[in-house]
Amino acid sequence: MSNLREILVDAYTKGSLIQAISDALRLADIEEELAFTLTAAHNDGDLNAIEAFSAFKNTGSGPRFFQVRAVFENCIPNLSGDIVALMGCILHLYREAGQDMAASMVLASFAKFCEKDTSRTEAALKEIEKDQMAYADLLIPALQGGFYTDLPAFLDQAVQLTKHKNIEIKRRAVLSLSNIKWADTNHSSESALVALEQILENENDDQTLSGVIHSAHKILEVRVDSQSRALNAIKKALQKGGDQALHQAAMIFAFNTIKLSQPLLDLLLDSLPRVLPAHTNTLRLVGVGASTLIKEGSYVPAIALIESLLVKNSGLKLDSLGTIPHTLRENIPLRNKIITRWLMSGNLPLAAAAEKIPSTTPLEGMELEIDPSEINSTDSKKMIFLARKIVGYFFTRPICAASLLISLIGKISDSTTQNNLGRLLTDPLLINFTGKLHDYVKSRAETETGRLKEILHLALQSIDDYLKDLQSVGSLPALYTSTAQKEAYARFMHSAMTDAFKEAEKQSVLLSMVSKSTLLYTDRSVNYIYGPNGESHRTEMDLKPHGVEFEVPRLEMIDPCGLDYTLRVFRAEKLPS
Amino acid sequence: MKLILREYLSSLKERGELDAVLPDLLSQMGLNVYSRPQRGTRQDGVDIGTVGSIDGGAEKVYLFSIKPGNLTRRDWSGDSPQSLRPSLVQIIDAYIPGRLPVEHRDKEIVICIAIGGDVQEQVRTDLAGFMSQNTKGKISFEEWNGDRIASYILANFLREDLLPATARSSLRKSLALLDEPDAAYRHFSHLITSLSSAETLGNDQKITAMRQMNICLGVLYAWANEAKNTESAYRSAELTLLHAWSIARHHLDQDTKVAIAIKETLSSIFSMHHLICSHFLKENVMPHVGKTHALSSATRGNCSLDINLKLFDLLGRLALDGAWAYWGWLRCPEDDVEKRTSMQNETLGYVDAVKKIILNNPVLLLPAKDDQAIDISIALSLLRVADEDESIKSWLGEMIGRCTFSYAMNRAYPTILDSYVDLLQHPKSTDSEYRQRANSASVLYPTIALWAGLLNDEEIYSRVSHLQRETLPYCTFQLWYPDDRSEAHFYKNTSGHGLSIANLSLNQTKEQFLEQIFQECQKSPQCRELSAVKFDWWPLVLMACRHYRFPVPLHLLEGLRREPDGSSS
Repeated sequence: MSNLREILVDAYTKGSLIQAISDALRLADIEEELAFTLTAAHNDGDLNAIEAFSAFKNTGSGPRFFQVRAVFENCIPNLSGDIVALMGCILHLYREAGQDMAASMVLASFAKFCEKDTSRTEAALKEIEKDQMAYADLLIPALQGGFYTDLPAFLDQAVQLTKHKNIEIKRRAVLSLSNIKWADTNHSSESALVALEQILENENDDQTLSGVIHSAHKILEVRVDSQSRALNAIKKALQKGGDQALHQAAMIFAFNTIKLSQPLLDLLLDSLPRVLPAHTNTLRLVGVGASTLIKEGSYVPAIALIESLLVKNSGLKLDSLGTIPHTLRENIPLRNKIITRWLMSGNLPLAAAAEKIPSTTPLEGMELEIDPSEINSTDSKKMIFLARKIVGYFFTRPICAASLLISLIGKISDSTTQNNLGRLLTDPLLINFTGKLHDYVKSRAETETGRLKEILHLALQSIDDYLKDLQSVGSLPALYTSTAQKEAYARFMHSAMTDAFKEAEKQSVLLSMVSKSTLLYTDRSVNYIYGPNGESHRTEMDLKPHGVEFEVPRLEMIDPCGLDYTLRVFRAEKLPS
Repeated sequence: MKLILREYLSSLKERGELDAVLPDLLSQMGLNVYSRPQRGTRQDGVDIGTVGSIDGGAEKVYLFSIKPGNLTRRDWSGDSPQSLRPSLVQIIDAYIPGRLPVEHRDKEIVICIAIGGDVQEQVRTDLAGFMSQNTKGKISFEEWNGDRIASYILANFLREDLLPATARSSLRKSLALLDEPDAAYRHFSHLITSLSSAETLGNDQKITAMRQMNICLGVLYAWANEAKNTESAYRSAELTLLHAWSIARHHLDQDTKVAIAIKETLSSIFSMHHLICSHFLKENVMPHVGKTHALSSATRGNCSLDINLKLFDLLGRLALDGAWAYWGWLRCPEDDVEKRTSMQNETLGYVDAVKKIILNNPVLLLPAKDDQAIDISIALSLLRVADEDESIKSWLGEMIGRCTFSYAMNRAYPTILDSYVDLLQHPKSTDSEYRQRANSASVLYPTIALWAGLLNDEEIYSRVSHLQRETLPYCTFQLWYPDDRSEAHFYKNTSGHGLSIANLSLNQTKEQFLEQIFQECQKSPQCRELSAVKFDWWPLVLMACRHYRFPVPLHLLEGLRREPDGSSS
């Protein structure tokens, strides 16, 4: 497509190469073709892609940074020219990407660049040694390229660099050992292991120790004869290390869960409860690993790990463990078991975590059941304790709360305790939620039998009597809130909702990716999108309404303080001794 | 205006309502009312006996037989003792020959058939026939229907020179806005304020002004009742009585003709006030106090604050009416056992209602505003006279618990903020600057401490003391006492008055605290000099406190204080 090359060269001469690439990408899936054409034009000297991308900024507006940068990443392995300029350009693009997870993809392209020719790695290492502060980030991809072309030589170099006095070089050298594909070579891992062991003797830097864990794990994965030493190295690194070491352990746990040997799994399960609540990424990784264990049927160690984390860090939310709530929710018997156990434990963090397990949709909650193996149904005090926990924690999702209560009543034989639990179903549950919850309890009353049916009917009867009393008052305009107050409240709510909406918009992932248009008169719109050649595409869009509805607890209006107090007491009270 | 009055008169369906209006009207017309309506049976058919001249005519005796509403066949000659025909026959056969004062026997006699509405067509012939048959000698008949009475009211109370156009306009606006009680009350208060400025004028003008107040209040109430929203009438009734008192208080210890007229009109206004307030509570509140959350729901508030404000207001109203009932009970003669028992039961009914409204509306366990201490104080006083000490302790214990909890959780703790918008946003911050502003002063907590002291409840007292020490060290705890300006301003709220004993510390025993605050009653004795207290109308002080949002003076609680030996002081 000579036309594309002409467009690119023309744009380059006008100083708009990046914009031209961005425009071309909008047309169709021509990323590879663009990379090929751009590389050819650069290598032929028609344009200087390195120079153009060295000035490419991630501004958030204008050309889409990562999509355009990906074109250049495809070019890198085949680019010719000044390696120093290329290294500078790559570092620039890496740093412009900020904290984005895709930031390091450009470094991977540099590794591929080095894989093409040993001399490229050598030249790169020379430049890195010359200006360590500037080029340290390129050490790992450079060595990775070297390991590909000449493992013995560059392993030696890497081992030497693990002793470097510059900690930045040392950290990266240690980590680079993890890039050796031990499975693809017969070369001995001895020198690498020795280097790691020496690091453990003398080094306390957390990041370096994190690198040791990663590199040792790579050896442990494939070298049977070195497994014990590698495991020992990981253990020692975890003992000496801090948050970075734990993060690395969490990565191994998350991405190798089912492949982990039992000793390594035990080691990780012992160490990971030390992760702090502030380290959300690490916790998400722990969640991934624990979820995999649960899905594989090994829920006991997974739950023990989660419980340990929750109990140690009282501020930790179950949601912080990424997919764990979803995984527990999907496994119905386990979900019921864990909810029952955690509520019954009376432990605040565990009980609070139990609340996070059921789905948040629908808003009124989903049906749950008590796991009988987790309770002693003959102990009335404990059953009332559990019932109050259910109400305390699941109050805002009344179907969850009611279904658990009903399930609990059905598992108890003592009629006094059953009646007490029935009263909790009435107040505070039914008295607060007379809509969908009332319908739910009614439907359960129709299908249940015996004593449970009787208790549900009693609860419904008492709430119906209560509502009848309220309705009997009729209309008393003399008691109504004044119009002035109603208007003031409407203004107050409007202002509060506007603020909340703005706040929600700020946090919206969707809105950060799209532009916003306002339609004045209709719910359909037509938009024209223009390509690089000026051709237009007409798109029609129908707008659909979106809304949610939820029932505000009645006592939130009538007795907010009393309701809050009651629920807090239910949540905080300890198991009666 | 005449249509408004006709509507008002025709709405006076109950016996006692029209009776209350006519004597004032007749007095204002220059007639001498020598016999007023009595509760119970008529005096041989006569409800009101007057003598004088109307519109410059000859002096005659006017004997009124009153029938509220329209005159129907049933009212004319039914089985009821209140039927009109038998009453008229009684007047002719018994009253005129036997009971007409001797000094009037030589005068012409006009028997007036007073009806709020109209004579219905089916009895028109009967009435005309009766009047024709019995018009003989000195006896003649007149029909005073709603239209005629309205004309007299208009001419004697509301004509331009008596009631300025702005005041008439205020009355009309208040009637037009009955569905917006705040606005209706605002317009009516303009009217009452302008009428009560007569306090500084001559005696005749004072009497006229008070009668105008009574008529206007009656009109407002009738229309409000028709609209089934007596909220503005309730508030207006309180205001009218307070303003009327402010005029009347200068004449209460006199026996002059003027003083008697003023006292009679005050009595009429009080009756009207009692009628309105009782009606409001009996229609809207009393039947529902025993139902869980019923009144809270009935407010149809947007939020819990709306319910809170309305319920504390209702609590204050209930308790105040209870206080009036208690006052009535105390004033009953010892030997009138039946009346005393009736008033006692009425008082206890209010006590029961206050207990039930608290029990069934938990929003009353946590005040939103510090000045709700006023309503709480009135309610506590009523409960105390019925020896409901345990109910008081339980209520106050729960209240102080919730206050403490609300501070700890930064929920809507009681505040001195007053504007509705501020209260909606409260608490809008957790910072200490906001908290100190929202709670820079309090009457509520010293009031709770005071009652804990009065009831010798160490636990509640120490909880308030602890709250002051640990949570509210910056808050100025205070109580309020009337001063020498209060008599002049209390009833009309024309200016600030009274004094506050500030910086009360609960870091002393409850006995020392009580000693300190009651000692101030001795040093600031002006409360005892308030006319309402001097003339034994002390519930008026409570009403002024409730209406104008002043704390209840401690002097009224002195009687509830127990000596160390347990007896009341």
